[in-house]
Amino acid sequence: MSTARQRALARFGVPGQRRGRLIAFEGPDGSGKTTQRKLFKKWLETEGYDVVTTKWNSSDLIKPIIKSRKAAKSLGPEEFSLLHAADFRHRAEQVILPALWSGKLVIADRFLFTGLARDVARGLDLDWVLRLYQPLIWPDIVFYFSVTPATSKQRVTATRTPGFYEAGQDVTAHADPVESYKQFIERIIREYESLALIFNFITINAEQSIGDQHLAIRQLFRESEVRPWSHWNVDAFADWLVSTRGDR
Amino acid sequence: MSGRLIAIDGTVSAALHAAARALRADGYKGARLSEWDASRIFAELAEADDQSVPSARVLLLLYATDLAYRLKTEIRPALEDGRTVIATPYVRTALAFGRAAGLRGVWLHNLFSFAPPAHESHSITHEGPLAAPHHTGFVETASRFVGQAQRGLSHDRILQRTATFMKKMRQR
Repeated sequence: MSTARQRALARFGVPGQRRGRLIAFEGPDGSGKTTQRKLFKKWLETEGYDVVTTKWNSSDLIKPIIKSRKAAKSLGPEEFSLLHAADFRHRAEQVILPALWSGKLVIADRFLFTGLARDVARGLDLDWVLRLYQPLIWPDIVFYFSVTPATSKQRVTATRTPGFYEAGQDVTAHADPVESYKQFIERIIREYESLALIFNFITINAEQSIGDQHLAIRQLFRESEVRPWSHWNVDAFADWLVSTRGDR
Repeated sequence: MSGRLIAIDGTVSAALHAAARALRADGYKGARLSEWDASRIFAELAEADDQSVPSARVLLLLYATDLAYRLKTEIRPALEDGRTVIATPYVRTALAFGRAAGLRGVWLHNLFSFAPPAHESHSITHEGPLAAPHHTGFVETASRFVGQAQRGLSHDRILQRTATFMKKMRQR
């Protein structure tokens, strides 16, 4: 066994030992997950948790590269997928794993499942996309905010016109972004619902009131058990320790 | 696709350029040349305000993005027109660099499985200095980053290891 793996195992593989926690918020646009993430973070801080938030497509290094190509509408499905996987990996190495290593609670506003749902909706192979994200990091809890395609469309288009890639115009070839969104979000929600079954997400009915959802999340979090991390996460930490001298 | 794809891989970008030029002069006149960073991702990375250092895995995901762009805009259209394309570097360079950085072969092969196999492959080994001062290609650029980031791997060490993996791949 490598030294890095032994170190990761010593830190996280022992039952009962204090460790960081990773909570992911997933769901389609317009499902209200960002509102819930903010409420949850405030509540956790009042409970004494040291909380770090990470958002999808937000690394200072990769985000500008993605932004300029989205503006030029020049990304094909593979490029779109690979750039988001690069952004995720860089955030994992710079933000998520260091915070977990030092015992913090990380809330991810969208996690790798966003990449899976969107990329598969664009016609890419699930297995190929999932492997891009290896070594995998499994959250302690994934809250999936479930809404119908009609609700997502109604909430998103009430305040703005969806962007070119958000509306999936690169794959639907619809000139009208709202019509394209309607078609594309159905595909994304279908993929999310499959992922929710495969990966045991906790589904939150995001058609409920904001307050009811927040109370449900608190309750589910309180009831969740902190189990020793899987070998997947130990591998992810070992990889991070070697590739970035992460614990310097 | 009726054209012909020729891959030239290696660690020293100046040697890759020279090999591509020699091929074009010798029987492949009019061949389309497809080179690293046609998408300018790495040029933008070099100019980024953010000073965090990308790992080998992040660099390879970006290399794959650039290759997907080259396939979409340069390589596939030329092959569909029945032309010869000289791609330098192609997949082997990235595989060798990834292995040199300690990444698993199974992850690397999955990453590049979207790229069609070349009809003809050349691996250029170089006996001189491993990093040319005025040419910077993927391996030179990525080795500088990884030399800063990765425990136990200096810039020179990763260049040497990449060259060794290139030789091993050529022997297979």
